[in-house]
Amino acid sequence: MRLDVLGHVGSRQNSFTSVIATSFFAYVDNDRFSIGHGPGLFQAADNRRVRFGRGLRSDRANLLGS
Amino acid sequence: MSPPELEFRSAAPDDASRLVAAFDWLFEPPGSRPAQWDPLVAEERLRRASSSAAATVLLAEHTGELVGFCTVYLDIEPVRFGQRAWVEDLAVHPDHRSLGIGKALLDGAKQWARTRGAMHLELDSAFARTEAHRFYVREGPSWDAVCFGWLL
Repeated sequence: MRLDVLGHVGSRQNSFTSVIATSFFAYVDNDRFSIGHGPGLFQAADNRRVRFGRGLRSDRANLLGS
Repeated sequence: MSPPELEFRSAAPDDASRLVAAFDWLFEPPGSRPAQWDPLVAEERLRRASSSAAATVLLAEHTGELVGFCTVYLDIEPVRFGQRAWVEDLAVHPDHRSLGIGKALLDGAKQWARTRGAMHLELDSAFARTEAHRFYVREGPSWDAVCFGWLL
């Protein structure tokens, strides 16, 4: 199930793929995708995008992501 | 430092009309025009953003010509991270790219948000915009993630 998600994202051939895949690994490894958020739901999205965030006060407070 | 011969300011509601035309920069490949795009609706939204205390539209002008813009909003207040600022649109005229205008606009958005109590600033970008991604990565984001959206 998890490999399906990674394979789906990794099929995009560009220089940013590795970053995206890394993000997925990090999130999956930390169980950030809860039960019920399976790959079928992700693949049905109309619009898949990459999000970047920057802490404005203390980077340390934001390192865990959102 | 701002690129030379450029002026940066927050848009006034009367700037909305010419700003709408500048959105064509975002629709060029690898971008695309949203199916629901309506210039009149867009103009009204830009007027609201430029007159709101919780949003601004930053402009970059070169001898009076619009060469870049950035919309930024104070939106949600996540329990874990506090007030968020969201950059929704960031675009530079095709003839004025790689001159530091995008960075100046992003820095302006951070400053605008910071002075209004935001704790973090975020944006998202379509997978196909790989050049933009390289710029955002150079700007040292504190994190990156993958977004998914559904039209309602």
